[in-house]
Amino acid sequence: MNPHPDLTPEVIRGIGWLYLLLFAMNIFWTVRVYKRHEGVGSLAAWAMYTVMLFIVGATHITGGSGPAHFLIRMPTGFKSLVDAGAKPEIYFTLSIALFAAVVWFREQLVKPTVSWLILNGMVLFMTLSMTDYDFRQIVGKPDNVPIVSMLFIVAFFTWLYFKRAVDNDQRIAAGRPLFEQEDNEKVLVWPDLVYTEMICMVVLTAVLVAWGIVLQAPLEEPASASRTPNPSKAPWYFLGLQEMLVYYDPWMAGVVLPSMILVGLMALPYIDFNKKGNGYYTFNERKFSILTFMFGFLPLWIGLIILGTFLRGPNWNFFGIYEFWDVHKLEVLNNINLSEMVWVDRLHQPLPVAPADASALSKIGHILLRESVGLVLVALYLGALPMLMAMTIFRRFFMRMGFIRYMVFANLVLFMACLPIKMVLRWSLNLKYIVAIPEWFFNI
Amino acid sequence: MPATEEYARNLRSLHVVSAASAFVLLGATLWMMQADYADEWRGIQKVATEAEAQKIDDDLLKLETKDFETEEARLKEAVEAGRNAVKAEQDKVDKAAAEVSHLEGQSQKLTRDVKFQNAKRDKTRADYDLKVRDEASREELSNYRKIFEGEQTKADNGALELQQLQAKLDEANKTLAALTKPRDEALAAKKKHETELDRLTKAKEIIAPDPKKPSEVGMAFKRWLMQLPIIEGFNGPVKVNQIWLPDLTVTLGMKEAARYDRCITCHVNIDKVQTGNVLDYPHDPHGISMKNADEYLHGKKVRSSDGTTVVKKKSRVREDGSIVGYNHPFSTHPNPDLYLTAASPHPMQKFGCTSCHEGQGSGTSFQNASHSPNSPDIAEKWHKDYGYSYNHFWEYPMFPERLREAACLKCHHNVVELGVNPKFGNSAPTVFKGYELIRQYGCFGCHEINGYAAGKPIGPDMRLEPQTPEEAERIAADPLAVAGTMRKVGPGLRHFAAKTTRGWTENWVEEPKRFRPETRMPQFFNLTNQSDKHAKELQPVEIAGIVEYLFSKSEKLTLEHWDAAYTPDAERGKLLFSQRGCAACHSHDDLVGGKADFGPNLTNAHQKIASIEWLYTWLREPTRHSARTRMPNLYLEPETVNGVTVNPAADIAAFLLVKRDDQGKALPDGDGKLVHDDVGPGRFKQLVQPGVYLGCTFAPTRERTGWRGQATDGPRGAKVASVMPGSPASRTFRVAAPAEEKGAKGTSADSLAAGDVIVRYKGIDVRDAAHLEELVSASPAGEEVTISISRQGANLEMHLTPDTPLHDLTRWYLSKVMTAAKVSAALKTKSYPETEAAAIKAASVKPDEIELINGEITDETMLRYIGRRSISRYGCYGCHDIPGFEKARPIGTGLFDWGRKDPTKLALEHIEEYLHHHGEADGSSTAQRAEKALLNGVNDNFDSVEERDRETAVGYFFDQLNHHGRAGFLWQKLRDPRSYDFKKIETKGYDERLRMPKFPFSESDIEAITTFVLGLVGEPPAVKYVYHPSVPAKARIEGEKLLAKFNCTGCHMVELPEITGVPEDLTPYKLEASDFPQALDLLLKVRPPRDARTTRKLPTGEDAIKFHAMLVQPINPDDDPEDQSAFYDLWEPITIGDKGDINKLLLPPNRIELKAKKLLSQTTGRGGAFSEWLVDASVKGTVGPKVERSVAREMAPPTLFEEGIKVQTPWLYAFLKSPDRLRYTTVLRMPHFNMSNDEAEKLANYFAAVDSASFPYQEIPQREPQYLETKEHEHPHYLRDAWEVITKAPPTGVCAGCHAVGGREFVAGNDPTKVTRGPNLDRVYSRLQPDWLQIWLYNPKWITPYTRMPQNFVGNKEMFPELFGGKGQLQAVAARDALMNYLQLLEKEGKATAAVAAQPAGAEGDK
Repeated sequence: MNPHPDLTPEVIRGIGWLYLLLFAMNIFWTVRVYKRHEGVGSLAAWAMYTVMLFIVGATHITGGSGPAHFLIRMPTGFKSLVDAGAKPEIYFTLSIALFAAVVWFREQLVKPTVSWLILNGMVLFMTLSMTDYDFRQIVGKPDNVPIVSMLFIVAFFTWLYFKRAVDNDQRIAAGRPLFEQEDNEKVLVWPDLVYTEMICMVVLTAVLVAWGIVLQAPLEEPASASRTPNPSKAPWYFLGLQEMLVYYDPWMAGVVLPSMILVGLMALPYIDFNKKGNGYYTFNERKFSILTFMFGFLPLWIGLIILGTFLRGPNWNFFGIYEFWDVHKLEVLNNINLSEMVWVDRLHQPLPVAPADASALSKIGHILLRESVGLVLVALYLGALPMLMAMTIFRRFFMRMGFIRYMVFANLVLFMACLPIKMVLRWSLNLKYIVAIPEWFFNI
Repeated sequence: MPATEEYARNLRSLHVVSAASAFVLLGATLWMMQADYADEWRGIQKVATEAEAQKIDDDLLKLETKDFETEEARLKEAVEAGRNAVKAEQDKVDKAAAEVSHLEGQSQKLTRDVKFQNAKRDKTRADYDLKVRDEASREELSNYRKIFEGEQTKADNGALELQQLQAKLDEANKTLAALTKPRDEALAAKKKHETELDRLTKAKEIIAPDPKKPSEVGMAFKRWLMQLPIIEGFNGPVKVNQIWLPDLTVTLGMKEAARYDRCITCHVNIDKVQTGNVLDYPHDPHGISMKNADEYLHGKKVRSSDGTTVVKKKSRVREDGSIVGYNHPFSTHPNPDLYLTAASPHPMQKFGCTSCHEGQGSGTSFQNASHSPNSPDIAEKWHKDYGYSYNHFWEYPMFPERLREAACLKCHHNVVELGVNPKFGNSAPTVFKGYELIRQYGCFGCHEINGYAAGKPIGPDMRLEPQTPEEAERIAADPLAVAGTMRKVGPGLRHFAAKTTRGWTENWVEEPKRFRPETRMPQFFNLTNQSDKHAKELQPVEIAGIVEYLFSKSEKLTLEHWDAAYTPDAERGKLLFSQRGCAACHSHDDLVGGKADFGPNLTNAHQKIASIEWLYTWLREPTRHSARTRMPNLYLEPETVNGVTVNPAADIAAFLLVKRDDQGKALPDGDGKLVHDDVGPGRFKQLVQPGVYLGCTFAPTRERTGWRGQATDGPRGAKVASVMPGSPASRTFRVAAPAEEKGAKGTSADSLAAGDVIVRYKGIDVRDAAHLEELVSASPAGEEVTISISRQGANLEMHLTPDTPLHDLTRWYLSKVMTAAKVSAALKTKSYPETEAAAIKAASVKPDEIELINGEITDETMLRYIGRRSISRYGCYGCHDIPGFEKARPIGTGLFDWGRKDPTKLALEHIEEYLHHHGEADGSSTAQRAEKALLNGVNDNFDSVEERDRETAVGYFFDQLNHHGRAGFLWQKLRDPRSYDFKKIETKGYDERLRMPKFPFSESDIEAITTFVLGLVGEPPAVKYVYHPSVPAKARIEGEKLLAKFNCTGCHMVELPEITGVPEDLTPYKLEASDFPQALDLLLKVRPPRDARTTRKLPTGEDAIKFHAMLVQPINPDDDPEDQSAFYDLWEPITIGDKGDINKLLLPPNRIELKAKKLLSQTTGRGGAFSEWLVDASVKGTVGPKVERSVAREMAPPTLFEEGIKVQTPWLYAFLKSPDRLRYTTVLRMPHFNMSNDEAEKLANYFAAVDSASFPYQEIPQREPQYLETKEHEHPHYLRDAWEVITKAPPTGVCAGCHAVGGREFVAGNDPTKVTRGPNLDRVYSRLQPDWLQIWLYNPKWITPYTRMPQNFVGNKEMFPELFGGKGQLQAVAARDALMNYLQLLEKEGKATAAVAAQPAGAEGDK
């Protein structure tokens, strides 16, 4: 058996079903366009597109030509381009850019046709990518199926939020009542809510059971301390945390930062002084809170889960989505600590080391001296920077919040920012740790 | 929230949706249950049960013969008759029955009473005992005892009464039985007749009860009920079956876990065999399987011609009459003698399945069991049929069929028993072949196969023996260490210089098979990773270095020379070459028909051997040249007979060095006389050593360089394509730019790189690469020159020091042990740095640099250094004894647990890319070959079975390689070891290139070796599972190893040919008048007759027999095919009747005629090819005078058949250590082997073990005083008279006619040509076993059919009437006793002095 069958007839048939799914979706859309009388040109375009999808799908399923003659593939040029750009910095930059674009173009994006086109684009991208063996290997893994669906679910809810928020913002601007006020259709807990929830529960259970039968949980090798799987991955919902381990010491990435996330989430009600936006969707009235939360959730959490799932391969190296996960791929990891940058590179001196017979105090002194620059920087970051911000960009916040609330808030924001900051420092300066005291298991 | 009466949604539709979702959930739940219940194995078990029922039906049908029915009817009638007979006397019967019933009733009551009474008695005894404990008064005790005694008396009375009653009852029963006898007997007979029927019917009732039969309704209901879902969990008939093996653990993630093998859940019939180990469900690849079972069991609905629909089942009988068998998973395991059955060595309940087959025993589906396909086309088929895919998560996938024997090594650490086994034969041919190949090719020289870990056996052990006395001592002193036993397989090179020339050696080292195509020496050079220019430049230096090292280190060898007056005779040498046994190990093209590959073919030895004196010395005393050689000393001493001196060694040496043409044909001189080849190895010239070089390759230049002042009309200069690390080109220095110039020039380490164009060399414009190389080679070595290069349009000036590859290689190697500056200094001053030299001198294991520390470093010492370095690198000392490498360790990976090597640690490199375009011998693509094999396999499109086997093997291993499997890696490593360097040499230093040589293995050899190595897992199971041979079995195993080591079977036949067929005339043996009955008794005791009958039959129905015999007259192909016969001499007593039936006995030397058409099979026996060749040649007269076949046999090395019951083991041991001349009839003598005491002991024990004789010591009761006293008592002066019997001088004496006996020298008769001289009888007492000797004296032909020793003691002729009353039998016994007490008698009775008179031609001779 060929270990890397490129396109077997089964795969082609599967892709055919995806096209048919897309076809079914677009029938609905074409009918909608027809009903709404959106113009003959638009209707014809949608109808042609839908018919084309059907033809392509049907050919895939019934076509007799072998995989060798299979033509509709993801173009090699595109794949090479994507793979060539497969670097964490590019990925992260792009995800920030996408995030910014979504926010910036929110009013355009929530237009039905635009949204529908984006959905079509996403499904088409998946379908075409499925023609690639390596993509199939990652996406098709039973473990990764929930993550693929998560992509769509997250996109949907983000869209839903922006749709409602944009609507309300426009209403506010036009002085019209809010959607939530206008559409004040209150329902009964029984039977409307409870009954619906119960049906959902039953249907969801049935879906989960069916899923469990169709996609069996993969049985992997017996656990062994001497031979761990490569790559060794955390459960999917923790992949964002695992990604932090690349940049931070386990102590920091595994204990401090997650704790801060939890503490931060708990502190939210006490920090938030903006009374607007209660009980209704809005963006313009809560820009700061929403952007902060979305930045933390979308690029920093969901983005890193996707990265950890699809882009981190053997040896925790970075792979393009169309790239073979070759264990032999090597990446240079020549990272240095800040103290080395200062002492060795700048001052051309060895790192301060206490003599072997030095007293304990002297040893501590040497270590602190060695890491002094990093310690000062961290102190400034967490101590002085909030002050500076209070005087400048967060002046209004500081006034409204008072000292303690502000300091808590500022520190939480700074902690969130420390991940992207460290990432940028790593990529630009090959910085390993700002403060590196392995003697005390203390690295930042 | 204001409550409204309106609902958001229509309640009705919500109900509908709710109901629908509830149904969906119910459906999903049912689906889940169904999916859980729809296990593969359930279906398999159900079908298997149906198949079993069908099989029972078939068996029942078989019973329904006419005979059976007639008998059944007859028995029925008999029963009826019996019943009637009984009825006739019904009154009596009733009366007797009533009596029995009455007595039975009484008896039952009485039995109960007695039991109760005993209980009462026991209680009173216990009460008494309690009183004793309480120290009651005497009266009280006495009272209690009285009570007890009373009860005891009652009990006794009861018992007595019961006995009487029982007797009455027996009597009554007897009376009744006598009355009903006719009926009872008839019923018993009927029942007996129906046993098989009953068994089958009962068996069927259990597995397939018929609900239509009232008697089986209950069973049918129960079976139906117990198969329902959920209920089946309560021990239903369909269930998971497993074998639990808590001691035969499986390693899961470094943890030992008990093994659960559930294979039998699907392979339901795997252990079903009938008595006599007949398979119940024989395997048939086209038999009943899950796929086609329906057609066989239920059939298909077919519309018949008359329009009705009938169900037609597929017939179980094929058109050719064969019965359709069973395919997996229904078939029974083959070879029940060896596997699975309780009586076999591997019972299923003890060994399970996965301990041998591997795979996931706990898996109960095809996929989870980790089945392994034998080739990719089968994988493809499985993929279609069972959704199979390779499960790389399970660490122990099942062995595919082709590799399954690897598993044997886990427990069979001696390996030999798998290949040579008295009971099971060659049961694991592939893995045994792999073992043999590794042994022959000496893989262990580089790859140690250590069978021990901390003194515990973990697998097969193949290690070199200790190389130095210190090492041997160290191992002997360490209780946990076990010394290796393997010798280096190549010849020793310690005294090499005396043997040949440098020219020959360089040619040989470069490519051995050029000189000797069949050599086992692998090829180290000119392989795939040495085809680049750099290798071409460095390789000759390495080869010359190796040869220089060998010759300069060669130790002095004192050569022998024959007597100056003697002229060696090559013609006679040729004859002696055959006669003296050389041809047993060596082939020579001059010898027609003799093929032996133990040693090399010697036809072109004259081209290799530089001196005839060396060859003479080697022949006379091989160990002088090579201490551990396996070449024996053949006792080629000069002999003078009748004034003619013959020096066989000199003659043979002369023969081997005769002048020959290129085809190996001798070139005689004008007179037809063979002449000495004077050229010898002189014809091989030393390799040309490369001169000064740069060490870079050039690319064709196409672009213009634009070099200042140069014509730009065409390409100019040489464009560098690659630069070899460590070469002069890598040591170029850019002339420093003026701005940085601080006096020292050339400090800028900016060496020549790919893409640079050298345009000027030493001020001369370079035309092209060839011109540049010309200029370089003309430069003096080590002198700095200036070159100009063009680099990306810029023009640079550089300094460069061209040098020779020798200097560069030295520099490169030295740079690994010291700094570059020190290396330069050392080469400049021509002396090794002192501190480093001192360190080398102090080291216990000397590094290779030792060659450079003494004196000046010259080109010669550098060459020797490179030689030593290369020998270290290539590991030449793994096979050859080389001075200076006594303490060197094997260079390769140890293989003891290679079969478990982590596949991610295999250095596969670019092998996939390599095999995509290369890989086959003709340069074509292996990937394509594998692809084709897959296609042909899927479409079943192979021309022959052989092609299928060969090509699917390639497909399998290639596929394995793509899966990064061990088997694939090993396969390619053995096919083309250096191919893993494909596109890797460009980024490696020269010394980092792969160095495993290429061995001349065939594809099947590679498969065998792969199987063996994969079996080396270093994971021995619990001790009780490891094969521990019994003492005799162990002796056999050790002996087999030595037979192979010293090629004993080259000369001696150790197993006779086995012939199966129907002989023409089998005349059973009849005791003749000349034979004594005692003789026959003894013979049958010592050599119990083997039952020769077999189950094989001729097509005519005649029963074949099987016997061991020697061919005396082969089939003459010119005869009429109807009359073609072969004649054999029977060599063993056989019987063709029941044990003890004296009238069906056949004894040697029965001559058996077997017609060609009645011969079913015959083997050639084992060993003795040379002996057979010599016999044939002697009969034809091609080696010496023409002789009779029986005489020729006596001249050839004897057959070692039943040697164990013949000789005494201590004698054999001494003989093997130092063989003395036994026979005078043979031309060749048993040579002296280079054997250790241990080896001689093992070999001596081996022969005893083979024949189940006791060893190492045998009893000689004839020497016991008790025995002698008894004899003396029966016959006064017993021993003196016995001595007389054997020492009587001819003509009356019998022994002395042919043997030297009693210290009297043997004197030949009048006609020396007709006299044959028997062995001296002085060693009989220590050599032969008494019983064997006795038979030999009674009738020698019973033992050796061809012997010329006559039957001296006969029953029908009186001899020596004055001794033992002239009774031959007594004399024969006496002769034996005298021979057994020979030394004592010689002492006592003195030398026999009577002269031996000239005697007529006597026939005699030991075999």
